[in-house]
Amino acid sequence: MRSFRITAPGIALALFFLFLAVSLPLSLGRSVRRIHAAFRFAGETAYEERARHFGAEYARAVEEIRRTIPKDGVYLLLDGDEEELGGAIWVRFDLAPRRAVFLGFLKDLKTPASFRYPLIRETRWVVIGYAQKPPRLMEGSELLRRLEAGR
Amino acid sequence: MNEVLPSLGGVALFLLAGLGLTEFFPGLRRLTLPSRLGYAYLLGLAVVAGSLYALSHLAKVPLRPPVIYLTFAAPVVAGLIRRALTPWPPLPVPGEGGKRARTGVGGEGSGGGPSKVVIRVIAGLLAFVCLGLFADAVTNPVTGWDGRMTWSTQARYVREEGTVDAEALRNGRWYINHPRYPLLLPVAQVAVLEAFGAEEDRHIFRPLYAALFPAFLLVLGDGARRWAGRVPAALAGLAAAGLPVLTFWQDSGAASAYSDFPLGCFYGAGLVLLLRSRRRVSDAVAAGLLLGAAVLTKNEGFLLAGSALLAALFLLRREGRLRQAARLGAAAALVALALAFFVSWRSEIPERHDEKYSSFVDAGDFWPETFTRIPWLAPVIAREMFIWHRWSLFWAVAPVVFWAGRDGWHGRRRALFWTLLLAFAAPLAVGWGAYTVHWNPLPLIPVTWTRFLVQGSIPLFLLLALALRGALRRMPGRSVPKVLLGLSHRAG
Repeated sequence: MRSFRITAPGIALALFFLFLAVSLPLSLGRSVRRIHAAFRFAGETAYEERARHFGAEYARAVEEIRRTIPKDGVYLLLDGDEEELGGAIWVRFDLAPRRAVFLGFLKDLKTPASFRYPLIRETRWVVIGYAQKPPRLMEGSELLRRLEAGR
Repeated sequence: MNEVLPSLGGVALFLLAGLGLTEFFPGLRRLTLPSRLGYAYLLGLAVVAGSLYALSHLAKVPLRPPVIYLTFAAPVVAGLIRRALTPWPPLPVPGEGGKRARTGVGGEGSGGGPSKVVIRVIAGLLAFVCLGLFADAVTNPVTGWDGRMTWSTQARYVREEGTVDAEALRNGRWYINHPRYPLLLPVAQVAVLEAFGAEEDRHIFRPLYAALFPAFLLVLGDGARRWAGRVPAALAGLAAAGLPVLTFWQDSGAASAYSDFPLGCFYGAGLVLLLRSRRRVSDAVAAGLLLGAAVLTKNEGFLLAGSALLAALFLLRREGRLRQAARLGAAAALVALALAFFVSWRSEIPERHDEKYSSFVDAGDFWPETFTRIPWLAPVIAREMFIWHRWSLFWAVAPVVFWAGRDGWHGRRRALFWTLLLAFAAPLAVGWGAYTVHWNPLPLIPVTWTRFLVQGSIPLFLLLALALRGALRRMPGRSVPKVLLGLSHRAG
């Protein structure tokens, strides 16, 4: 006859099997979804992948910036958010190996006397990264005009 | 899914190189093919990426296809020659591996062996999770935070310039986060991308990380089978497969491009190799290569590699101490070489855009804060370990299993238990040390503690296997768990 006596190892093993019963189906479910997605999105381009994950506007903006700045090009990178949410870091990956010079927060560029202004004037491209919005590309001179106009 | 063939190819290149290397290590050569594959993949990754890293920095060899093909081919050819020249070693005789394989829970007197059906079902479940990880890797771009911020960004700069001494890293004006982090995994990414001539956006390197999960399971299975038996090994594997933190979690699992899981694999596999073959110097060399790779994977890799060597000291036997010291010395020499290389590489890279550690910490706080901070930090740490989408029920259940299965490390497994416990505690001690000297560790814990647990996951799951062994052995012969697992006495 099978023994149903309650013992410490019995309780431990019952809990362990409960853990497996809860967590394994979740892992297997994730696997099923990933395998399904692999067939569903087969043949996607990198642009389509990026649009699926980060939004069409983000993907379009990245494509545009990449078309404009050559692979061995250089750009100034600004964080457009009010606090550090990583928007600049996020877009830098999609733009690499283009090299970035980080200028900090856009909100800190209020004073025309800032040491950053000459740098912006000398650099052709500026990219402003946001956490919740697509990145913006503009020429250094345009950014200066906007800053000076108080926008 | 247009990434499938080059992705499989990338994994296969490292695997084949590693299989060639295993021909030089008798302890690995004797293993069954599945067990050997786990070590082979890790060795391939360690030696090929490590060699390219060293060639690029020391010999200024460009990281371009000809050199990459040669670096992949050299261990394969050397392995084939070695295999042709050396007779194939005999299979393990019953009484060594055979005895372990036939008996059920943990060897002696545990009753009948596990049912083949049970083992096959478990293997099938594990394979399905691995397939899901691979599907994720070929379908989706890098989405995890550190993968995008650090590791894969560095890989893109290194690939563009064809050198680990890229100007983007060495010139302080360029915006790079953590520019002095070791580059073993980014170099592996570059090797695959260059080998297949992949375009800028292809992510055919992601399966390299996904393939680490089957490697993890195979190494865990090898150690756990040896020390705890087939069924506890299989159950520990299932437990690992059920944890998002090791599998699909984007911020350190095998589905991420973080370096914590690779570090955990190198560290754990090096440790298992050090512990499982305590006589052969050559096998210690294999362990040293894996621990050296740990040094080149993350900054804390050196501390973990040192801990593995220290932990292995626990198992020094009385007889043949000189030989055992030679073994540890061989492994330690490789770790020291890797460290010297790492220091040489990073010495020319200016620090910038990194945490200003010196301004955060005060080493004078270490004592007595290492104790006085426990009541303050322990609840935060506990909360991290009970986050459902990372750990599921694991930390609610594991302590009960460890307590009920404490028989699993009595007797001759006691030293092994302490060794594994020390190895598991090492990354946690590194983390605790950082929290002790940091002026405000509370924001640090949510982004680091789980990763330290991931780094120590192989010793953790080996301990779990030992505990499961202990719990199963204390169950009556015809109890429900044993019947379910096919471990009940078949006769009588």
